[in-house]
Amino acid sequence: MQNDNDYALIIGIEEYKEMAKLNGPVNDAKDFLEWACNETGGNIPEANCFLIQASKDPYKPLQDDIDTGLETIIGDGSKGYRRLYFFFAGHGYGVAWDTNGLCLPGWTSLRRRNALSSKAYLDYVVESKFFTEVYFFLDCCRDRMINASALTPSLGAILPAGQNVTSLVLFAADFSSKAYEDPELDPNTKVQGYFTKALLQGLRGAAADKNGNITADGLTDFTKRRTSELAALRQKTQTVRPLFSGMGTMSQLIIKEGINVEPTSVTITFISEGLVNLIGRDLNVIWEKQISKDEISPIFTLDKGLYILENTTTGNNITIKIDGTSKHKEYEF
Amino acid sequence: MEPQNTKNMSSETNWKLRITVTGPMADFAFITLYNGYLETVYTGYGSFEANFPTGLYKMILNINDAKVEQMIKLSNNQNISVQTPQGISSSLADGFRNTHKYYSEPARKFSNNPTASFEKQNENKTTNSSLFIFFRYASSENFIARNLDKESLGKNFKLLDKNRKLICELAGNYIVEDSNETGWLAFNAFLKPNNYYLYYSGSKINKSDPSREIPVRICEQWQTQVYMTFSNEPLFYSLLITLKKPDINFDSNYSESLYDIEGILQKFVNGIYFLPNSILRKLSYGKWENPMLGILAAHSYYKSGQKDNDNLFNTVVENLGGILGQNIPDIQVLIMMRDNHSGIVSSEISISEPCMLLTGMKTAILNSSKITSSTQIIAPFSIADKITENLYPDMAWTSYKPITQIRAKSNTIVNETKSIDLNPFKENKISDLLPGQTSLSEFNYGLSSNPKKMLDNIFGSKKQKEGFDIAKEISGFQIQPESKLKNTTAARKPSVLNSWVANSVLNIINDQNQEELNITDLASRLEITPTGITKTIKTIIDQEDKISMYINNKDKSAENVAFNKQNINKLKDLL
Repeated sequence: MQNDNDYALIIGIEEYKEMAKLNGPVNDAKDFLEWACNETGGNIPEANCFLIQASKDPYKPLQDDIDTGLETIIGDGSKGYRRLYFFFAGHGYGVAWDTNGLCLPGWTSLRRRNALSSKAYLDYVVESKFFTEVYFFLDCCRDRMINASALTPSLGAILPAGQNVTSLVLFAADFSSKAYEDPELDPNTKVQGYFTKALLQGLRGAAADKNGNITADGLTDFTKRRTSELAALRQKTQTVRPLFSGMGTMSQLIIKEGINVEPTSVTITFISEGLVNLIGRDLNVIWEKQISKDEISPIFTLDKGLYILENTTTGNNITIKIDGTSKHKEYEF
Repeated sequence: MEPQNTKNMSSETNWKLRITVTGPMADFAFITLYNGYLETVYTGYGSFEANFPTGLYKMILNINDAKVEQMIKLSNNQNISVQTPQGISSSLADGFRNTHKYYSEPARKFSNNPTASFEKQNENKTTNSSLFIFFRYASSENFIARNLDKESLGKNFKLLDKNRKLICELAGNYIVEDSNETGWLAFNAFLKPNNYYLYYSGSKINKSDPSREIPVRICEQWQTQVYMTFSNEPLFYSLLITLKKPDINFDSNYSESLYDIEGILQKFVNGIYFLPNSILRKLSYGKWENPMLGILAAHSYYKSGQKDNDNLFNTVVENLGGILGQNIPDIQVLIMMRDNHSGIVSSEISISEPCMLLTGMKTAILNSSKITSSTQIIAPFSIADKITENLYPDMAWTSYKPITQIRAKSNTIVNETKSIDLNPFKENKISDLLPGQTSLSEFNYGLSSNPKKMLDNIFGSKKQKEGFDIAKEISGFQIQPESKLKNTTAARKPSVLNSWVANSVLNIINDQNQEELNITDLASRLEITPTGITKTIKTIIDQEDKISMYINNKDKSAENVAFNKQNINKLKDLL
C-alpha cells in the first residue's frame, strides 16, 4: 500500500546564468525521485512527486515555479498529509548557520538574492502545519557569499503554528563550507553529489539499524559518515550538518522500517604470515588461524559493524567496517 | 549547556571508559563514540566518563576540520588520554601549529612598545588605551614561497579615525616589519578611546579580494589587539580581535583566554553556540583577563537561545559595561540582545557606529525593522546606517565594503604638490589621489548618482560652512582606467542599476507581484534598515528618467527588466 499522504518536491539545477555548470544535480534529482516513488523506498504515488524541470532558455525555474509546486501539493488544504520531502541539488550559499540560499538559475552577482531561503521555506511548511513530518535534503554549497541573503516564499501560513510538526534538515556541508560532486571517472558511473549519493545509500538500507529501522538519527549518522568518506577519497572535506526540530528525539523518528540489510562478503589476502584473529563487534573471535604469506582467507559473511583483523605475531591490525554500501569487499593484510 | 548524549548504556556488563582530552581548546573538542554496530553511543564536548558494555568502539574527536580517530577494545575499565590535534590561530598563543617564536617574540615586544605616536600617553597613565596590530604569515617558509616580491603586509591598509579621516597608512615610520625573512608587521599606538576603522583597499589583481573596512573599538585603559594571518593576501577569516590590559604580559592566563576566544569563534561561525563549563565558571568569577571573552560568550549565549544562565549573563553584560563603557556600540548591542532574549524589542537604544561583532550588527538591523516608534535603533545617515547594505558575511567580525569616502586627514596625507584638482565632482582627476581610490562615477552604493547631492545629504550645512574642505573627501572604489572615464555619454548607465538593493526591491515587486509589500517587509526581507530601503526607493524615483533613457537605448536585454515604469510606480506607492 502506497504512502498516499506523502509528497515530494524535487529540484535539480545544473545550468546557471552566471555560475559554473554543474553535472550532478539532475542525476541527483532523478535518483531521489526514483527512491521516493519506489515501493521499497519512499513508496509515494507518482502523482504526489513533483520534479521541478530546469531549463536554460529561459532560465527556469523561477521562485514562482517552486511556490506553485508547493501550492499544488497543498491544494485546497483538504487532502491527507503526512510527510513532505523537499530535495534540492544545485548551487547554494550559506546565509546563516541554519539558513542556506538555494540558487535559482537566474542568479547573478547583481541579483544576488535570487535564491530560495531554505529556512523561510522550512518555516512556511512547518508553520502551515499541513504535514507532521518534514524533510529537507539540500545538496549544495554553504560557503558564504558577500551580501547574499535569500528569498522567502510567497506562500504564507494563515495562522502560523507548527507544534507537533517534526522536521529534519540535512545540509550537505557545514556552514561556510563547500559541497562537492563526484567526478565521472568511468562510463559506468554517473556524476552525483557526495551528499546525495550517501543519503540515498542510507535511505536504501545502509542506514538501517539492527532492527531494520532507519531512524532520523541513523540516517543522519550514516549520511554524515559516508559523505565524509566519499569526499575524503578525492581529498575533499565535507561535513553534513543536521538540523532537527520537533516531537521526540531523532532516534525515535522512524523514516523507514522493515529493511532487510544484506550482509557483506569479505575476503582477505595475507601479505605476511603469523597468527591472525578476526574479532567481532562484541570482541568475540570470529576466526583464528596461523596463516602463511599470500594465503587467501575463506569468504566471511559479515553483518553491518566494526571488526578488527589482528596479527598477534607482528602486532599489526586493521579495522574492517561493514556499512551496508557494498556487497563484497577485499582487503590486503 | 554541554550537549551530551549517551545511549545503549544499560547492558549487563558495563565497563568504565574515561576519555581525557588534553591540549589547546580541549573543551571544544567534539567526541563521537560508535559501538561495534556503528551506532552512536556518545556525543559531547571535551573529556567524559561513562559506562559501556564489552565490545569494539570507535572514537572520533573533531576540532573543526582536524580529527583524531581511535579504535577501542573495551573489555575492562579504561582511561584513555587524547591530545587535541594542533589547530591554527592568528593569536600567537602557545600550542597552535602556526605559532612560531619568530612571530610571537616581536608580537610580545611591540605590543608593549609603540611604533607610532599620535596621542601622548598621559603621564599618570590615565589614558592608557592603545591599538596593537600584528600581521604575519603562517610560517617563514610560507612567506618566502608566497610573497616573492617581499611586499609589505601593510600594503593597501590604512587606519581611519572615528570620522573615517585618515590617521595613517600601515607603512613607513608608523610600523615595524620584517618583509625580508619571516613576514610580519607590527603597529602600536596610543589612541583615544573611540571607534577606529581598519581600511583595506583590496587587491587589484584578485577580484575575490575586494576592498573592506573593519571597525575596531579602543576602550579606556585597554589595548585592543588585532591579529591576522596572510597567505597571498590577507586572510580575513583568520582575524582575531582581543583586549588586553597594558600591564599584563602574554602569560598562561592570557593564552588560555585566547584559546577560549578561538574556541568560541570557530564554533560561532558555524552556528554552534557552545560554551563549556570552564568558561561559564570563569565568567561567574568575574575576573577576566580579556573582556572579549565576555563579549563573545554573551553573543554565543544569547544566540543559543538557552535560558539556564540568564542571571549570569545579565551580570556579564553589566560588568562589561562597567569595564569598557556602557555606551560603546558593542555593549549597546549586547543590551539589545539581552532584551531580545527576554522577548523585548529595545526601543531606547540607538547606535551610530558599528560594533565589532557581526551578530551585533545583525541584531541591530533586525531590531530596526521591528521598531514602529520614532526611535531609530540605527541612527539614519550614520556610519552604522550606511554600512548595513554592504556587510560582508564571511567572518564573525563586522566588515563591509567601505562606505564611499575616506576623509583626508586635516594636515593632509595627500600629496598636495601634485597638480590635482581635489574637487571630487570632477571625476576625471580624482583617481590620481590615493592608491585604490577612484571616481565617484563608479560609486555604486545604490543611493544616488549625484555625489554632490549625496554629500549634501550626509554633511548638510557643514559643507556650506567649510567651503571646499569637504571636497578633499575621496571616494573609495576601484580605479577606473582613464580611457573608460573619457567614454562617458548622456546614456551612461545610472549607478542605481548597479545597486543590489534597488535590483532586489524591483525584482521582488516584479516577480511576485505582491500588492501588500511595505518598506518594513522589504527591509526585513533584505536584512537592511528601513531607512536604507527608503533611500534606495527615493533614488530610483529620482533617476526614473535616466533609467528609462538608458534602458530604452539598449536593444533587447533581460538585464534590468524589472526597472520598468509600472514597477517604479508601485515604488511610489510604498513611500
